[in-house]
Amino acid sequence: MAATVTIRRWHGAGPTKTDITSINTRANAEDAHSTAGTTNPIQIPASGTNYSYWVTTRLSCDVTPAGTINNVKWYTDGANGFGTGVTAKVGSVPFATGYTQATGTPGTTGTQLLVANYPGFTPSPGDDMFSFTSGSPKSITGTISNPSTGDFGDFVVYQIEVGTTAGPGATPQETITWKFDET
Amino acid sequence: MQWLATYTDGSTLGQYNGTGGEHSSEEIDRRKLACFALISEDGEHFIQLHLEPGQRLIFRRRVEQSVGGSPVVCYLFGWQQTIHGQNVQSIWYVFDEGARIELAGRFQESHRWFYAVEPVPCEVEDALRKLEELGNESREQQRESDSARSSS
Repeated sequence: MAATVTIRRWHGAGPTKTDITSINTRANAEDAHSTAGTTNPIQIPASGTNYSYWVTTRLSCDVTPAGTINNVKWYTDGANGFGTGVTAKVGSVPFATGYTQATGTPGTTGTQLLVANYPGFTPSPGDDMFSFTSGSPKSITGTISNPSTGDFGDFVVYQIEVGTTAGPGATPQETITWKFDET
Repeated sequence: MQWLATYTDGSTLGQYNGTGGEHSSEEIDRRKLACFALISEDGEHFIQLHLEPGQRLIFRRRVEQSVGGSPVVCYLFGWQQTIHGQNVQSIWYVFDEGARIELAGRFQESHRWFYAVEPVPCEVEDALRKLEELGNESREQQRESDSARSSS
């Protein structure tokens, strides 16, 4: 039987690890997962940039592989469809360094995703999320082998950035993809 | 899909042992591997690779999972060999439980599916063993050549 691997969004102090494999997740100005939340949007700034609370994700192996899972990749479709004035940055955090809860002002802006605010985050500032495609994915360190289960691999952390030219309302969805090999 | 390894002595090792247990492809004894086959779940598709001496098995189940989407699975299997110092390989990429198969040579890092695997320990050992055998063969050939020259 093949391994069962899920994509988890980590949030809160616990942290809570929400399975987002089969659903979408929003990057709002709040430290919470939601599929359609509108209570705490990112405010369009009069000047400068506002941010979503950063989104921390990681793979979880819920059913152990017969052998080994490795060669983990992460990417987008390569085209920023969020609209004018909205960008996104991504980086990774070694699993040994650990998770850092997102902070900010709810309903206004998150704290900028930098290594000074999220220990271990690299590169800092993050890369353009859309620079990673199926042909040029982000390689994620991490492996898990039989009989282990649970979280594995480095964290992939991303954040939406909203500039003064952004328009109001929910942005179109973007697809994020993970890939891995199993022996 | 499931795999089936056949050894040079005719014995086999299947992915599933019939009693609910599962073997990892890493358990395959590559020193005596003769054939490696992939069989679809409905038994309709069967693809078998016959390995020549010096050829190393490559096998992975490659999974693509988008957030909010369904997983796409590709089985990649084939062989890799060092020939006159060059790395030569041939890999099948099996999609849709065998309904679609693509064949490619060397890994292509910019391809959505055809990029390189990360070796696991048994594959590294197999590669080192094959290189040593290659070295031994080369030295033996050199000795024979030297001997032939001495005789003449």
